Amino acid sequence: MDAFTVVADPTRRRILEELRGRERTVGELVGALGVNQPTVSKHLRVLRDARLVSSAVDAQRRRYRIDADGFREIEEWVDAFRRLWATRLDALEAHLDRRSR
Amino acid sequence: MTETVRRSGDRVVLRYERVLHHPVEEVWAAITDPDRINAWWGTRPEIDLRVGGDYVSHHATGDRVVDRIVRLEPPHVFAHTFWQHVNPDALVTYELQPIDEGTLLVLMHEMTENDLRNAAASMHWDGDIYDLMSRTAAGWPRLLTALNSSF
Repeated sequence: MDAFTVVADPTRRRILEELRGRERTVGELVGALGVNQPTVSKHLRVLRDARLVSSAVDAQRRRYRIDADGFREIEEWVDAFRRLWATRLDALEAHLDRRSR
Repeated sequence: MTETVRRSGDRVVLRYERVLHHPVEEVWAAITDPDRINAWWGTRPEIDLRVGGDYVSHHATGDRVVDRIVRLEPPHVFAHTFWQHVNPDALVTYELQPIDEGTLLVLMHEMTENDLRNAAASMHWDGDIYDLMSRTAAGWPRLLTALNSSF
């Protein structure tokens, strides 16, 4: 599954939101999302495979966190186009402003 | 100016809204007249301004790209393919709406995920990897928010 498809799932987006800026265990995610543990684990597996989330064991508890690598894939695709058009529209606006002065 | 990223099936739409303090007719000329386009885009295209007509752009690399006009509803809607030979499903649409301040320009760049992949492959991501990573770490929440709001 590519990063776009992975992020398209609403439960996975909620997990990513929960992990913004902090690490969480599966139990904490189950509590925050109100979704059962097998479902959360299944989505975490997909997120890990896509490298959107990574995990580490700390004091015998596995904690999950955002992994920027997977997001780079999405960001690179989209950002190149975003900048392309933002720059062009700036130029169009400047052109129109110049002519009307 | 607002920017959103929408995804529907395998299609991705980058959508930009911008308020321009100029009349619709003036904006229309700036996006359809080759000399006017030259003044802001930096290259002068050859345009056969009719539905099905060619939109030929010349690039600094020497590439001559032939696209096709898909919609033409002066002075409100102008749509053409975008690098048709590389991205057969990509479409760029300008929508101009008269508003009190002048014109609301909505620009949509629509493509398939496959087009995006081709584009990513054709770009050379040979910049500094640490710069790229730091930019990404800062940028992803913004992108996620944009994606989030679009589903």
